[in-house]
Amino acid sequence: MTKQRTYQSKLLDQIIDSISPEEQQKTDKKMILAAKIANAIKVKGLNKSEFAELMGKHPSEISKWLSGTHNFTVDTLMTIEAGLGISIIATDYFKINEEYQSVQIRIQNALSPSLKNSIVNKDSRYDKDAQKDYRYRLTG
Amino acid sequence: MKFSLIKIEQFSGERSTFYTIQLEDGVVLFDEFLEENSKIYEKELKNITQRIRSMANQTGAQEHFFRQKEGKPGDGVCALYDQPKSKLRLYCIRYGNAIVILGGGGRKTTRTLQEDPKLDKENKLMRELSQKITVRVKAGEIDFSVDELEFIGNLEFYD
Repeated sequence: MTKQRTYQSKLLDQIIDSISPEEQQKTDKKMILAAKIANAIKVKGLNKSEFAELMGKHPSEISKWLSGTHNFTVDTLMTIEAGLGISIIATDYFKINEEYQSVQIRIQNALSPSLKNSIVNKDSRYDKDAQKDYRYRLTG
Repeated sequence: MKFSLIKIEQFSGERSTFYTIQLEDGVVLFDEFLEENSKIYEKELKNITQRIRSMANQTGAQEHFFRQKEGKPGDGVCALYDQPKSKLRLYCIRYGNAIVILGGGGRKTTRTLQEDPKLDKENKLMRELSQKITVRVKAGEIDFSVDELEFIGNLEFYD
């Protein structure tokens, strides 16, 4: 078996050095979004022309969508979500935040004043005791 | 034509691996593409590099990221671009989502490929390479690794 030869391009290194993490992340997200939509089309059992017809678009527009370079509007993403039955835009932010706050309040209420105070003051000696106290109060 | 397949270190990721071609005279096709276009198309090359890195590390080399039908049916020859409307083309041979061979390319200035001598030459080269690789794969001299991310076997085409 022939050993694989690898190559490190110096010119490519220069180009890569000029790419900021933010720029790469932006490209990654666009590509991942396109891949997500392409996969959903496949799962739905559609080809590009059929999906284009579903969306009321020309197939060339779909090619742009799937290229990984397209800047989608929110309206278009919502149309795609509805057509493919997938979630692209997360809209449960407030629900998650409310649940998190609710749990935090329950923990605070379950603690004795002294332990609550020690946690607020970030006294690590009482961290384990605080946890034990909380568990005791929840289970009785 | 004598050549060898070499793996591009900077483009080897969890999702796909990118190779290029080194000719007998030492010329590396992808490097030649970068050198030819780095002054005029700096932004476009940067964009293409970002897209390849995304494919290597995040998404794999999915079919819809490439312009298809750039070669004969089934030979895998396609083209990479920075934007769909862009005239800059980088010819590739794609083997599923995991392996891509990057060749040369340039800016398409004519209506058809055949009218552009430079692009026509680059495109024909990739078609020829694809054919030679296919012969080796069919003969069992080249295979794919278990994770399908690499070629294994004889990657030197000097006979």
